[in-house]
Amino acid sequence: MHERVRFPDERAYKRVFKGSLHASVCITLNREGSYLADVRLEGITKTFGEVVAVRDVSLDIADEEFLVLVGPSGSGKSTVLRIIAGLEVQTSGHVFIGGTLVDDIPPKGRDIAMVFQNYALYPHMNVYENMAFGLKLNKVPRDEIDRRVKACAQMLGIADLLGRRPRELSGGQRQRVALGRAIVRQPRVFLMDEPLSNLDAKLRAQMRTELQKLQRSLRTTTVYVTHDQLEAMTMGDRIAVLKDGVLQQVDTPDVLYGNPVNMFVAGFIGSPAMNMIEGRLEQREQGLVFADGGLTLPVPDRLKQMISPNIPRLPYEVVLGVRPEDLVGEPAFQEAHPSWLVDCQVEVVEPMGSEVYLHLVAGTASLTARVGPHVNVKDGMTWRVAVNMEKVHLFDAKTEMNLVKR
Amino acid sequence: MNIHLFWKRRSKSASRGSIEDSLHRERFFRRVRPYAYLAPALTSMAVLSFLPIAYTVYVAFTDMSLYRFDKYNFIGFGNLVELFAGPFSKVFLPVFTWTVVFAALTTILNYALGLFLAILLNNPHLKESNVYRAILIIPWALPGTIAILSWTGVLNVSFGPVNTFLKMMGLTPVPWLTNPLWAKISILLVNLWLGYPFMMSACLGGLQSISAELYEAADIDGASSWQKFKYVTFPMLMRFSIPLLISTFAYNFNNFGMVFLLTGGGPPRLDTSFAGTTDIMATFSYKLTLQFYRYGLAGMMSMVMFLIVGTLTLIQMKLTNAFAEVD
Amino acid sequence: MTDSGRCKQAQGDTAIIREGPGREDLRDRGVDKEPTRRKAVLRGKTRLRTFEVVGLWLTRVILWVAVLASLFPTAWVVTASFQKGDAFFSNTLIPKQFTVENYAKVIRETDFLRWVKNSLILCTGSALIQVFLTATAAYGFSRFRFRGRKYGLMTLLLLQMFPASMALVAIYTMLARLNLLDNLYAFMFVMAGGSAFNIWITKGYMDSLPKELDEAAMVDGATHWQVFRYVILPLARPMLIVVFLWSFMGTYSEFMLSSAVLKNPHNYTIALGLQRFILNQFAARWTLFSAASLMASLPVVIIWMFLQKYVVSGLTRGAVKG
Ligand SMILES: Nc1ncnc2c1ncn2[C@@H]1O[C@H](COP(=O)(O)OP(=O)(O)OP(=O)(O)O)[C@@H](O)[C@H]1O
Ligand SMILES: [Mg+2]
Repeated sequence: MHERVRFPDERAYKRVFKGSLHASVCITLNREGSYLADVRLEGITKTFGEVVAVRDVSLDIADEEFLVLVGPSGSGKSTVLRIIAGLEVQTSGHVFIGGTLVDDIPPKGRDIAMVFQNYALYPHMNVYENMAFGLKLNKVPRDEIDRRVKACAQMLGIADLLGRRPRELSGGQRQRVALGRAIVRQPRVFLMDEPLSNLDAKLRAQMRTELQKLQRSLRTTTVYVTHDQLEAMTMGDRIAVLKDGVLQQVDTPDVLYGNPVNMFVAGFIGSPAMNMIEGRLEQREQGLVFADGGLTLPVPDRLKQMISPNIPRLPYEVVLGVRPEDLVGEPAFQEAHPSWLVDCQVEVVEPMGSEVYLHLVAGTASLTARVGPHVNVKDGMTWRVAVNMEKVHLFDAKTEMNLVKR
Repeated sequence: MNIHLFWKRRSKSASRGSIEDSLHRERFFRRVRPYAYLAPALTSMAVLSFLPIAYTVYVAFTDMSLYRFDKYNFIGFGNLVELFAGPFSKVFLPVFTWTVVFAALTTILNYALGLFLAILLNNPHLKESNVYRAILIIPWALPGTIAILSWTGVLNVSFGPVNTFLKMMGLTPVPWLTNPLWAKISILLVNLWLGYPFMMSACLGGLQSISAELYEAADIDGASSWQKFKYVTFPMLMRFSIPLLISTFAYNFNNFGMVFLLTGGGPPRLDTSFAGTTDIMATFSYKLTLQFYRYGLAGMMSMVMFLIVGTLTLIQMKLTNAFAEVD
Repeated sequence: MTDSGRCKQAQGDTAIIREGPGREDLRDRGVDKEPTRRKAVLRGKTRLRTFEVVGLWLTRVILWVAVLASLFPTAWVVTASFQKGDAFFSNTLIPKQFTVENYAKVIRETDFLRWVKNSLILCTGSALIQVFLTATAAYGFSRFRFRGRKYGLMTLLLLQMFPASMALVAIYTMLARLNLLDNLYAFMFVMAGGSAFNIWITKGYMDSLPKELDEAAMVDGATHWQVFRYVILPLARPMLIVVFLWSFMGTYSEFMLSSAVLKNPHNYTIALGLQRFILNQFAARWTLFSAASLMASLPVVIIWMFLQKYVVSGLTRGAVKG
């Protein structure tokens, strides 16, 4: 049986909730007897004057889930997060936390904790006071505060910094304090807005794994905002992709990578980005083919079956999407699929250590291939590559939707 | 799972019923909250500024005076005509001119000296700069009234140290506070002495807030010292000194204490007993109110003063975009 | 699984985190100090060119003159305060005899101490009220969006320019009607009236405090008032000290209103009392006046000197952001 005890003793738990929760919040219990902390957005729209920052976003975040909100700058990620936090009031739609409607409840009553991009540590308080502040406001008894702050500081390895002011800390330490401030509160939901973006690359990678481990062990529902698809892919249980305030797709990293719903998601997830080749589907004597100015590639039967219901007529304008690793240089594979071969001009060779990125030009299309480290190519030479047509995506050129459903 | 669904549904429907209510309340608070924070200041301002202003404006359109305290008449702009074109204009116009001249000159003098000293003090090679600054700031630190009262002694014609010094140097003593022209010069000098430290500190703070990178960039572009001052220092200084200039001008336009305590408006004028040679509008209207009980005239004069200062301030605010908001 | 078990597991999971800080610590401490040190080295090594040296000395000479000029009147007051006799008739700048009699006389024979007490009560009280009014209003203007926000402060600033001489009559009448003339505490509230300029400049200061701090506090469970009380107020302290000081000094040397309202010598402030010494042109007691002036000014000057750095930094930060 799966038992969750987040509050060490019943009394402290009640005290915290009496202090912090708005009268109208009910606590929903799940079957195991602990309270639920799922987050549900129903048709959230937010406008700032003329600007529509978020448009009709509906999202179900399960209890204990680590959900990553990802999207380019200005896509409304922060706005969604701030609406969940209650820092921004949505123009329309509803927010539920733990099954309770919280639309009219200020942040104070939502029992959430937030980590800000620039940490927003109180400069006039030392680390201890920073972490204790929320507990103090919620009238947690002093010895309980002390115990929790110390335990949390221990856990984050900042126990010896408790007496310092934020400006006497390095970026990484500040980041930990900001995390600690969220953790000691033992909230129902963590909200994090690009918490790692101010760290250098190495520290960021380190903190990424630490954060994940932390969330796994605390098992607190987490909504994590980032514009970095790598962060999203490595950290999220599920990923929600936003573009221009519109939710594109919500799914696990695997599905998102292997089965993106549209060109935007396909291009956004994965690095180097998916190769996009504009062209059309045509019927030739060898069967259905994808053709652009220079190259002609046959569409294999399985793919054809998948896309045929979505294609009203032929020829049909489409965009072919190929992941860099699906441009294959291995002779064995090439011999097996002679019709998938394309002759390319090598523009730039970019060795990454464990692998090599090749920037290629085939006809009018420029492509990036990801190959093993021992491939023997140089700038300027011609290189023959096989497009793994079993794994490509085909997007409707007009609607940009993925025609392939795997 | 059933329990959980039940709870979910119940809590939803239960709270939906009261949502309207509580949403209403929250919205109400959201609207009212800002005004609650403003309320204390606004109340005090209402009682101590707005009511008196309304009263003044009201009185300005009457002929209220000691003899017509209860039986006053509304005379429209009669007081304004009286001030600028009527017989009273002979008394008023010199006061008006001197007020404008005084406020403008004193603002310019204080600013010029303050900026000059600030630039000198900002010299990075001047290691003892802080010592000078600490001393130069003393006049600002002194309580103004006490300082001005002391100055009446310093400038005393017969025993004041300034004249003693002049006599020692073999020069003729100057009738500082008793000659009309010298009295005006005295006021400007004393006000300079009192006012330059504020300007100096403000300019110094401003100079130091200009990031060194700007100068380095200018150096790389090959700018001369003068060009650096003209294109980097001065525009940056202007950004914050214009509000200071406005407030200094406005403050001095109404600088009652300076004139009242140093010369009392004197020396007397030959052509009138209402105003002295150094009276500015603030002291003049004070005298009209408290000594001559010409409430109507004094009220109108206050309005004139307000219109001038207010208009200037408004123009400056627009020029500096001090209130442009980036929402 | 028990609670302590969970805790241990959590600790085990995140043990790596603990390795970090040591090295960062060192780097961190170095970072802050290095730039200043580097600058100092640079400055020490720089050889000044000739025209720079000449300029430097020219600067010094000008500053010496300025220092002398600014000290001159104060120096005279100091000498006068040690001068024998009532009036100060002298043909020399430095008196021949020194005495502290004037100081003793001021304290023994006049109500000086009562004036000081009155002034302190009045100034401290009104400055505290003023700080409260300014801080709340500035917070309102800085952190909320509401109707009348943009032009409200501008209007207040403008109205503040209205000359006070007629307001004097209105306030006087008002106090008379309420039978509060010659009441030090009522007058305290009059002097504490909200100042739009203070509000404006404090608002500018508060605008420069990151909004995320408010939001962090709100998420931490703070109400608006708690955000104000525990986050904004402590952070705006330098500016509020300036406001306190300005207000204190303003009341300390206010003359026009107090001379009209406070008629009873019992209620005299320092400014009023001092003026009595020299009111009569021909019986001016300059030496007493000087001694009293010095005693009245010295504490204020000292406090001012200590807090002056707040004044300048607060002013520029408030005004630039405005
Ligand atoms: N307070 C505001 N007033 C007006 N427009 C706003 C405000 N906040 C956000 N916006 C607009 O809403 C849109 C979404 O902003 P948001 O901050 O949510 O983007 P984001 O996805 O977090 O971007 P970033 O990765 O740069 O943080 C943007 O176009 C932005 O300009
Ligand atoms: Mg953002």
